[in-house]
Amino acid sequence: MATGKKPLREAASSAPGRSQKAQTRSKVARRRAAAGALVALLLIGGLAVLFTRGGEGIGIFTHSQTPTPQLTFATVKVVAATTTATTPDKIAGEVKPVGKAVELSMRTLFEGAFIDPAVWDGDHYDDLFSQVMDEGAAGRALQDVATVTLGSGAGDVYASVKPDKSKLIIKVLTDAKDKPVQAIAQVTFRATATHDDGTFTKITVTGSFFFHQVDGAWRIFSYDVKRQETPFKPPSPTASSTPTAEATQ
Amino acid sequence: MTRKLIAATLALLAWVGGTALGSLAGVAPAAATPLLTIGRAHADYLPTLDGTKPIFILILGSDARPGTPVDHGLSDSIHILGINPAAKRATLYGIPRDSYVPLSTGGTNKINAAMPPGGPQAEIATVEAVTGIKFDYYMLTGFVGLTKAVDELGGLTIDIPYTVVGDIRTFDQGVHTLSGPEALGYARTRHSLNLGDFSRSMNQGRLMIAALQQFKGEFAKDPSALYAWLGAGLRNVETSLSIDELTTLAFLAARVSPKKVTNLVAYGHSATVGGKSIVTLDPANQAMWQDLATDGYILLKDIPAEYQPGG
Repeated sequence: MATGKKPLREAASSAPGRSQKAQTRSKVARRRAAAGALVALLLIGGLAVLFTRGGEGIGIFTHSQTPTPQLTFATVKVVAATTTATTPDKIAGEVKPVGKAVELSMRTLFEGAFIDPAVWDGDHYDDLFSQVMDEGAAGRALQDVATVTLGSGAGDVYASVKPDKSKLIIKVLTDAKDKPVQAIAQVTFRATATHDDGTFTKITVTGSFFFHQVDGAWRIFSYDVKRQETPFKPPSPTASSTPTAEATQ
Repeated sequence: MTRKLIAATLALLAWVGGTALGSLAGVAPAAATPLLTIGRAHADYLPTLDGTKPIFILILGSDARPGTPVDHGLSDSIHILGINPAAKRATLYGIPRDSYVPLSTGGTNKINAAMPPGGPQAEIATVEAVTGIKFDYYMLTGFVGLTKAVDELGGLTIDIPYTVVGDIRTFDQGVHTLSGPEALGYARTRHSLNLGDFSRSMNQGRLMIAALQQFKGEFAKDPSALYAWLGAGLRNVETSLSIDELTTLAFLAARVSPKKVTNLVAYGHSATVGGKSIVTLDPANQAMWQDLATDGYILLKDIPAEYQPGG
């Protein structure tokens, strides 16, 4: 039955004027959606570039994603320094636990001060110092932060720090009853730092840290630290596999 | 609207692209100058005394022979060590062993005679009464202790100001590293010296300043040297100082220049009492002891010309 009328739905959809407007609106919506997606994509990309600071893709994202390398001292030596006629080897067992506690504190200090971006990027040195130092030393270390650590604002300069071969010698001072009363930790810490601008430096820290007991815990009460940082050019990956001129002849 | 969107998108694209390219371009080759090269840096923290309140230590050398406890021998070497932490200055004030004074143990006798009956505390009380200086601590050693301590430290390097003909050897003017027995020989030599016991007391002060110089040098090179010094000291020297107090003083000593340590001996006159050779202390010492008690040190320029240390 042809009535000349179209079903309401069809009529509504097929009406020529309304159909053109709908098509135009649809195109605009699609363009807006595409542009919006593009803008969002670019914004995300731009932010990613900004936060990762280009270069080798190092920044806050990778700081939280890359596992922090742990510091292991290649050499650890613990010896007793007696103040009686007792020879140091006779009380080696007595001073061993002190050596362990001091070694742990030194690892905590150097990991936080130089290796772990969660500490140096966030400038959380005060928390670090209070973990391993007594009140006086911790207060002073905050003034010496540029030498004792990577420094405040290290996150703006360094991308990552990887520890190299480091060594630790601990001497435990005993009293008139051959009981531990103090200790000195002498450290040579070596690391390779990657900078945000893609350059590298070698970090060497040599220092002596005096420990005494505070409420049963061994804490640093005095220190003497020297820090040296020099530019470093890592060997090219291809260079090592390329035969030398002599070998090719 | 569409054009605006496209323009905005292009601008954003240019900005992000520029940023990205800029940061890529910023990746310098490894050999480029790093953003930060710290070079060398040094920091230290030696918690020590820094107040103006002076510290006084009585340093005693006993003549105890084998069989006699060191703290009951005659105190043949007596030195007041005054330290002013804030000024980083110190003074060694020797008192001749023959000084004829009232003893805390009773009567009047040579000052070194207080220790045999009363130990170091009696000697301290005697010197306090004579000088008006109150001592915070004391240190006491003997012939064996001094010899062993010096040997354990690997010798003692001293710049001897004039040749001394000693019993065991002649100590020529100049720099020498003395072994334990040699250091004891230098400290005990009296007969060949112009001013006898006064000059000997000066030389003992020189040995102590040489020890300060040597400690400073070794500690600066290797802070763990402190433990070698504490070990050698505590094994061979009796003291009322605890290890913590010794550490604090050692940190202070590391900051004191030997040039800022005045070495002098009480001025006195030789006399005889009951057939014994004695020394009567000059009243001028009282003013200098008062000066020393006030701030822990005496400057050479403040000592009257006639009392300037010699020998």
